[in-house]
Amino acid sequence: MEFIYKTTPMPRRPLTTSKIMLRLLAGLLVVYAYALYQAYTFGSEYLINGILLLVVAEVVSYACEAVYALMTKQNILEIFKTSFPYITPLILVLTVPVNTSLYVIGVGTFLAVVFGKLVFGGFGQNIFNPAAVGRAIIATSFAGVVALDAITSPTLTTTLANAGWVSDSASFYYMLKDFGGLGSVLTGDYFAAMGETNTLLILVVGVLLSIFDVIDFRIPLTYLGVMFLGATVIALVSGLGIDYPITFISTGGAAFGAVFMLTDPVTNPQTRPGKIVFSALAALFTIAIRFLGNLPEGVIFSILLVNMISPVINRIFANKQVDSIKRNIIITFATIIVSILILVIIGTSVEKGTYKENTFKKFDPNAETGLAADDYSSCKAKVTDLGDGKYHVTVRGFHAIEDGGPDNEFDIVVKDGKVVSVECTVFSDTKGIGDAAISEDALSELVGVDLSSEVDTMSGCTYTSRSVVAAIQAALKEAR
Amino acid sequence: MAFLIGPMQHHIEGHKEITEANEIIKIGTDEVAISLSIGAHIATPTVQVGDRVKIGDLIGKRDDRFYVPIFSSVSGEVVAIEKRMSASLKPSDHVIIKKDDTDEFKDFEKLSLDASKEEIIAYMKTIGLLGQGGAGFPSYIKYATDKCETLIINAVECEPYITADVRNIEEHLDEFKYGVMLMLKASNASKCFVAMKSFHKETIEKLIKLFEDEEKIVVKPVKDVYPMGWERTLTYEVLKKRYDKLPIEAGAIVSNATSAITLGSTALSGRYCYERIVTVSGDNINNPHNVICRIGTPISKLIEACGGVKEDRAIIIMGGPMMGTCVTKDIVTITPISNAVNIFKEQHFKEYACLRCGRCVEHCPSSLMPVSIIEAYKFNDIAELEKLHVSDCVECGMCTFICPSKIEVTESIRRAKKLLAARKR
Repeated sequence: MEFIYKTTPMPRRPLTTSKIMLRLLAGLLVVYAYALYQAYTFGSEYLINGILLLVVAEVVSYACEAVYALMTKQNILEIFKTSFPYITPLILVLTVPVNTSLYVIGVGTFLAVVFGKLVFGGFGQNIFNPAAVGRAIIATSFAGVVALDAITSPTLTTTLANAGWVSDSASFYYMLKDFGGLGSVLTGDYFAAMGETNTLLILVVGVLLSIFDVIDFRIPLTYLGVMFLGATVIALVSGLGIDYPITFISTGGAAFGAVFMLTDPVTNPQTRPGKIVFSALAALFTIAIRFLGNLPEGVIFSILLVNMISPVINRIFANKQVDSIKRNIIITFATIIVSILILVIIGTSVEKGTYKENTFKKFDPNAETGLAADDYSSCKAKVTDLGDGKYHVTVRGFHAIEDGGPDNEFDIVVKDGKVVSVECTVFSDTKGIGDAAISEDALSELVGVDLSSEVDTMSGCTYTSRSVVAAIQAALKEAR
Repeated sequence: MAFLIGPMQHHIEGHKEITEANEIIKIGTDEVAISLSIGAHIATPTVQVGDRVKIGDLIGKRDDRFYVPIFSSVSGEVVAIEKRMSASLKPSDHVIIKKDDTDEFKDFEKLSLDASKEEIIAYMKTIGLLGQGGAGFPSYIKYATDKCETLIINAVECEPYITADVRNIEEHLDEFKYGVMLMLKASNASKCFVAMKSFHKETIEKLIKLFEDEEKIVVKPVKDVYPMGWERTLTYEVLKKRYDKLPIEAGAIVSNATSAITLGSTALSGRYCYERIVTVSGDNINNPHNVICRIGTPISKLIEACGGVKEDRAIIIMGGPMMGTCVTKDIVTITPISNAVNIFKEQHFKEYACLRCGRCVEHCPSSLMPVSIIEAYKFNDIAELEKLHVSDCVECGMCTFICPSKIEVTESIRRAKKLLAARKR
């Protein structure tokens, strides 16, 4: 028999860091799956971009870790196993909109992994949440080029921020109605960052992750709780209903940040009172940025701020917990109450914003652009199909609109959705002014126009010009 | 409070079923090596080579801060007094006695239940009663107080694998009762709790029956968590009171169940308890059993009686797998406070970077901050170590057990404790 020396204890709990990370991955994938489903409802190109975003981010993350392993002369596979490179890019992807360009997510992931994680010495050594670092850099440096296409639909967060986080009751309910009511707000049925919209789903995943011992529920509970209670008081003062606090914690990725980013244990204090104070302060920072700052987005920056003061919080509670329990309870509850009070003071003292009905357009990727979307309803075009792609259009011009005179009339030939020829058969507007718009040169400019073209009207003869374009729009719509 | 501190305890797979129901194997020996070092006590021999001793003869004693006598467990001739490795991993004096077949006893006096508090305490001192849960604190010092309101008999046995206490109780119910009654009288307490893990249902029923006529004595089933058997955790569980240094600050005395049996058995028979029940278990022994053997039997005999090891490379732990000490020689012998010999296979755990998740903080039964202690230790920060109360660590092993990154937290804290102790000196 050979005796081996081994210090006690011998038994080990079956839960390993690797298992914790896999469970977290599972939770994130649930949110990601829903995000992909939502992207699919926007169109298959969004679904593909949503998938590619993760692929690019993961490849960049693994590549960074591999280079780091080579530079520090460590085994690459060993680093892959112990550094959990798959988490940061997934979180980062979930914090950006689905139409983000692949270039931006690639650069963002690189910066997140290198400057958020590896420069500190890799997994377990980082001061800041790496994904939050990446997101903050994207938000501040790539704000103009984040989007892949021209969709610049206002998100609920930017709408709230622009209207003023605190608005009068009527404004708030207009806004809520515009976003499809409380149900849509809770389930994230609107366009925003991929992972942050479905608050209900995130909270369910959060509960499961707490049950499976992955995250400490005290962190999201305190963070969202402080925000919720503060917003409730503001709602009572401002005459708003319970919808206000619910909307308040459902927007801007608050739930996503609370469940998946604030809970990153590496950047938390170790003690439970520390974690609660940490979360309460994060809520306070989020609100301060929302109410007083220029940025619409408070969550990411508040996470980075509390990450920074986490060691200080840890020091405050660095003692024998049982001996200092009274002191710890007092500090913890005092922080929560003071945070809520400050929130209420800020919330009730900021200038109330207003919001007008129906200024919001819900994101619709199938919405028409170009000529098809232009509004020429005032011209009241009437189309008669003459066959063989030829259309006769009567449309109101200057005289018809201004003093009830006769309409202008056009014959338009359309082939394959494009204008082949335009001819003015009846011209009722002012000669010498309006006829510039129906000159041969002007009309030949319109040949080849289709419904997606951007067509400008001519200045100087606006009414007549509008009547021509309205006629073309009507004929093209009739022809399709 | 747990909401803000943490559970300070956790369930650990007990593996007690592999020895609990098995018969107790009696192990004979023709020679014993009685260690004069028991726990923290280092005694000097009072016999010489060539002396003939009976069972219960004094062969060594500690006489500096405490008086601790050590008795012979066999009758026979002292053949050597030599330094050997003891369970405390230090070479210490062992009295080696060749056993003859006479089994002659040097009798103590018996003790009746009419004895006074002072008489019982004096008796504890005479028979050298120690806390047999592992610490080996002399009982007569513990009971010399008039502040005790509650006596807690600790039959929790929270370490995995060990079933020696519960088997000992089952085998010696009368002695146990007698010992508990004497302890109750010595403590002058108004209430006595006999704490045992709730899953020992049959034993608990037997105990309830045993104590049904005694109003003051209550059988208290406790949760199956570690370290429920630690007196601080147990006192809090039973009385909901915390204390600074000793349980008596909370008005309690905590005594181990095997100590009660030793006291009861000696008081009833007037004879030294020369044997003890030891659990031989672990994942690397062929036939795990409880064995009964003379004090001073080398563990090689115990391992042999239990069918030897499964894998040749073996880790031998004297005591429980959480707090016991790993020994690297099988000539180490059984002392009155040895409750188990656990043999394990070599094991490897993949170590990850510390997550700083704080699970060790939440589960530490002393509510210390192991992560911060390790950081302070790395930077040799003595003032910080003191501020973090590192000396309050009892090395229960919870932090290493609970760590998801499989870091040897407890070992680092042991070193930090040693560093602080060395600097303070």
